[in-house]
Amino acid sequence: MSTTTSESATADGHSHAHEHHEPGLIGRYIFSRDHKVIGLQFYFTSLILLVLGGLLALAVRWRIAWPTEEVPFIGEVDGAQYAILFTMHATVMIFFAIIPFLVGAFGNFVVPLQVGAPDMAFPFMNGLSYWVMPAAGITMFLGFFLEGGAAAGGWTSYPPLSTIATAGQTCWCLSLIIIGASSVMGAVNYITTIVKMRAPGMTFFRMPLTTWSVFITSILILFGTPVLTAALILLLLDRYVGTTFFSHDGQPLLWQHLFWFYSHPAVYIMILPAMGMASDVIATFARRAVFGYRAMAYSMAAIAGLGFIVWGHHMFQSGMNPKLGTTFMIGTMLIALPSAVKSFNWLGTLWRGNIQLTTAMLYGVGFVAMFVIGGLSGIFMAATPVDIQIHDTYFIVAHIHYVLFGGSLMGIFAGTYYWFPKMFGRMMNETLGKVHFLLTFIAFNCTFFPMHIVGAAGMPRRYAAYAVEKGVTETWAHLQSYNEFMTISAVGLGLAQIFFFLNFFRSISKGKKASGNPWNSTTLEWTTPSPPGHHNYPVVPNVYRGPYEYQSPVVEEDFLPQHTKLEGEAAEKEKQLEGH
Amino acid sequence: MMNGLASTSEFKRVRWVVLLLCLVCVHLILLDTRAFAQEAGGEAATAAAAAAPEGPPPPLIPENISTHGAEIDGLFNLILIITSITMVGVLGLMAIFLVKYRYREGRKGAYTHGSHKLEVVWTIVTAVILIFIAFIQIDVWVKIKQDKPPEEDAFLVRVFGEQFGWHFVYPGADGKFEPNRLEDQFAGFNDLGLKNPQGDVIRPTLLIPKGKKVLLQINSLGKYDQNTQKETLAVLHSFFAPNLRIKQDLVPYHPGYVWFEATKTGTYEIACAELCGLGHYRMRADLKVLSDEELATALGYDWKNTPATFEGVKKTARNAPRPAARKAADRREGTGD
Repeated sequence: MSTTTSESATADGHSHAHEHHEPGLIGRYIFSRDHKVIGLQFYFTSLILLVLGGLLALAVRWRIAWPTEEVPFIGEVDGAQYAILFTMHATVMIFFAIIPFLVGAFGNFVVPLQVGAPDMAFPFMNGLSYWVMPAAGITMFLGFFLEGGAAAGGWTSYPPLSTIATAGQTCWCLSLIIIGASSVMGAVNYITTIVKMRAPGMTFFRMPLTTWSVFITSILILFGTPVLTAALILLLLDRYVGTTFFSHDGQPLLWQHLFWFYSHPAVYIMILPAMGMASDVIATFARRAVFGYRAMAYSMAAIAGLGFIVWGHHMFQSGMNPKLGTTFMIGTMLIALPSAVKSFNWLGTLWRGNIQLTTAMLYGVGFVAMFVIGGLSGIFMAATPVDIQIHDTYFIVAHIHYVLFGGSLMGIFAGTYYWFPKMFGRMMNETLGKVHFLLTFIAFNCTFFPMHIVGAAGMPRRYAAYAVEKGVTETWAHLQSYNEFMTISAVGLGLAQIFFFLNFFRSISKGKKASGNPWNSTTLEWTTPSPPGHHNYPVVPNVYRGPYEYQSPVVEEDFLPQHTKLEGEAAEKEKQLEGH
Repeated sequence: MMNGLASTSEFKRVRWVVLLLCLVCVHLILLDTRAFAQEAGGEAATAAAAAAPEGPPPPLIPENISTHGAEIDGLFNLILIITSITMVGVLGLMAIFLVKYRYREGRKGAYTHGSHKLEVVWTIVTAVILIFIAFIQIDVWVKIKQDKPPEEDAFLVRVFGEQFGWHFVYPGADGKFEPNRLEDQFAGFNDLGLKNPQGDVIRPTLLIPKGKKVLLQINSLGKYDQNTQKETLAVLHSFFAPNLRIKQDLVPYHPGYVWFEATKTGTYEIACAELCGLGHYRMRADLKVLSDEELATALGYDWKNTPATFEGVKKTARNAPRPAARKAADRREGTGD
């Protein structure tokens, strides 16, 4: 650790005071241009919406398990309201929780710190990209108060159903257009910051994998989002102007192509940053360099590239030309390759490490384990003939939740427990954290693993009931006990999160004070004080080496930070090592 | 080292809350398993009581009754085996590493950045396995979705899906299907808008012969009221017969074709597998696989000696007047139950 860092940190306020005006209270905390404050704004907003999305999920599960009973706090739920519940659950979780968490919150907070930049390239646009998010959220929830309720066409909103839907669908379209703008502004900012504002010595292949992942994700957002926006505008025209792009004798499949051209890459937007974060966390706590660092970065780029040519695997049974199905299947099988390589590399990172099982590490490892299961279940759907039976069944629901909850959300938890000291200058409680992990892990698997089984049995998704009600199919009635089991587990999963909130909000004010580098990490964000001051670095650090120099033989400690300048014998030794 | 961990004293102050919540969670999990066991037991008992004369309760995976279903199930099982081995291998190694290389004060971990050889090997091995899995799918897929039997070899049915039900149309004694138009729809006696409704046989159940190829033309049906000239758009549905291992979406104004051959008589399920509105979960019909004679009786004509063709109904033009921008009230009606 360099002593200069902590010294100059205290001098931060003075050395920069003459260069810029300290913003007032509102400027600092509400309409802030500081990437750290904006990151936290994204974090808290996403957290609130995560809770809301979770409650919607519980209502959905309750209705499935006990179709004849009232849902607590909501009352009786009919088919239309049920469709609203699952549509809004997915929409809120995808667009208002997972993406803003990963890209908005962690991207904002971590990326400038990791590349050694004082702030994002365009601070005003950064603030704007946050402030359109609440606007989008309000637009979305306005739908609940309109006649007919909020959008009910599923998060995919396939026309013509979405063309004839009530006004809530319009709110849905407008809201996604607005939040798309937020995403694009963020993406431009990340790309510019990463390309132009890296600290001296921070070459591309010295960037930590979190930064790499946000960089690649931003490229995905930049190419994908405009296509969704265009499709949404066409849908609005169909609804109000009388055009027939997707409805009447138009092409309903055109929507599906456009929608999945964005939404398939969006799946990677929702997993790549979590992969990057998990890599940082696992390297830090395994006290070990990331195994195959370059392969990790290349794999992410490969996933992103291939991500644009596999969207048709959502449409195997849609009426798309079956010959295209074969093409998309082969592309999809290929995309499993970089994912597999990444998983093996994570295993390699654990191998011969010195593993500290902190809460962050548990979530990092949990992420890898659940991502492996979610990735493998994807192979079933990629196989075109097998997909005939499991398409639009609970098998798909199981798959997406293993990837998005077991993957993305566990990545978010890993990131939270890992960077919390940097965000708030205090430590989270490890005991509570471990209880939280254990309960979440068990309840998660009890909730979602049985979905594979009922899905293989062909149980269709988006059904409000599988028995009991009049006129409803009896074919899957014998699986009702599975449904009840999953619902009870889901309630347990929800309750387990109480530990997180207890821990999180208590630690903000009462946690143990954190030092600048509590985990003995090597990357640049840990050279700043916790929390970092305005403009992050009192002195812009020089970068001398790659991001994961753990167990380096040239120093006594088991870690060698990126910015530490070695002199004399040690420097010679390091040079020799690099030669190999 | 490990200075990130919170002190125990801090934990002390919240331990009662933690303990209480733990108890609640454990209790829930116990309830969970108990309810599950009871349900499973109870369910089995009632099913056994109800189905006592017929035999055991239904199998977990719906019974396959099509000629191609066994191949789909075989591929499913093969992928299941490959992925299970991978899962156990990866997660097992992970567990071993987590225990074996757990933190020890003063232990030095390995200082390596990877192994080029190892990475090349596992990339190539994985690629080979994935490409193998991909290539063994192609023939089955082509057979099911691309190689449709010629019309003269198959039993032909037109299927119409609407919000929220199914209609099955058979050609009748003349072997020809009647063309349908939105303009000819009259609720009650000509729901489908057939030019001559008496020319075809219309049933609420899909009746098919055993041991003969069946070719379905699947259509999504819009609704048009002659009197008010109000149109309800056709939406997407999906024809899903779990026992036949068949699923295909119904796209408005773009008729699709599905073929299969059933190997066993009986009554089975047809479900909708594409969200089509608030009654989606109630959109179902029975599939009845019958012997040749039973089918002739059920349809009321000698289907075996009546060559049929889709000629004349291959394209479904939308020929109701194109509406201008519709009002919100119309749209609401569209999702009506």
